[in-house]
Amino acid sequence: MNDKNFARKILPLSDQLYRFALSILKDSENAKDCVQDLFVKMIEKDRRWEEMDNPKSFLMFVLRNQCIDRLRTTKSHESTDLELVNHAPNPHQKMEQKESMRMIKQYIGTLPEIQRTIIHLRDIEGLEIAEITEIVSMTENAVYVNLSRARQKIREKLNYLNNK
Amino acid sequence: MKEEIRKYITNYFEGCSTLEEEKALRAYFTSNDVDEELLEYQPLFSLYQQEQEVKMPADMKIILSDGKPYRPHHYRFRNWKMYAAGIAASFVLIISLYFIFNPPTHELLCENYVVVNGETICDIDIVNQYTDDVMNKIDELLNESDKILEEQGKMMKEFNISDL
Repeated sequence: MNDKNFARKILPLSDQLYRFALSILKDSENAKDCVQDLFVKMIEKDRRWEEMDNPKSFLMFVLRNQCIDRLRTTKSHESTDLELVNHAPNPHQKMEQKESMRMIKQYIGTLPEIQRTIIHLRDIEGLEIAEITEIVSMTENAVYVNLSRARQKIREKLNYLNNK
Repeated sequence: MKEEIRKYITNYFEGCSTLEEEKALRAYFTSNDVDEELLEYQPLFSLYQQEQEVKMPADMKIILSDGKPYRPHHYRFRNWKMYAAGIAASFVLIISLYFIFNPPTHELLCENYVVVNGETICDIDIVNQYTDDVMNKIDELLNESDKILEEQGKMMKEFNISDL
């Protein structure tokens, strides 16, 4: 690959971009395609990222729009398989935790797109609120409100699962 | 430790936790030393941790060795479809323009036709109607001519012009 800037600035973000696309599309193939589309666009059409020190927010902003466009056309809401990490000490707890994680993931998938996106950017990617505002084109206050609402809903779901 | 984690959890669900607090929550809940009373939150933070570890699939080609970006299948297919649609649209446009500037003559559209006052007519009923009208007009003209001749004959008899 001849484009050194691309390799230096964009390729290291590949995993993060893929996870972000996956969180919106909930389909691995579509997420891969969207990231590919983004790369093609960044190389062939839109070179604004070259002038940015940290193009992450810009790339995520463009990727989110692409994913939303794709959602409108494909309406794909398939969930991806979970490959669990061993945190629980015994097989029974492990199974219970696996099931709880599956249900929480499924529940997060049912949240409105904007809340799901904000949860992903904050809780999985660990972005600052200021970065999230750039990606989702919202005010800081609106991001906080959506984040808080989404987490409240998740808490209610956790309480429900716990009391079942 | 437990109280600190409780405080972080409260902040988290209120949407006002810091990135450091959220990091601490993930680290705590992915350890094997989670307090019994806080176990209900473990699946959520384990899920976040697990999602954070998702990598872009290894089979995803990014850039070809010649420096050109790899295009996903759908992208190439989309381009092919776009070219085909463009060619078809151009073809339709050319045909349409040809017929706009060279409107088809009736000779091309019907087997038998007549031209009346420069107008081409294919419909046999309309042709018959025209013929009847013309024949009626001729009939009227002949009748009028007969009357005139008759009157002229009478006048000639009255004035004995016939002897002249």
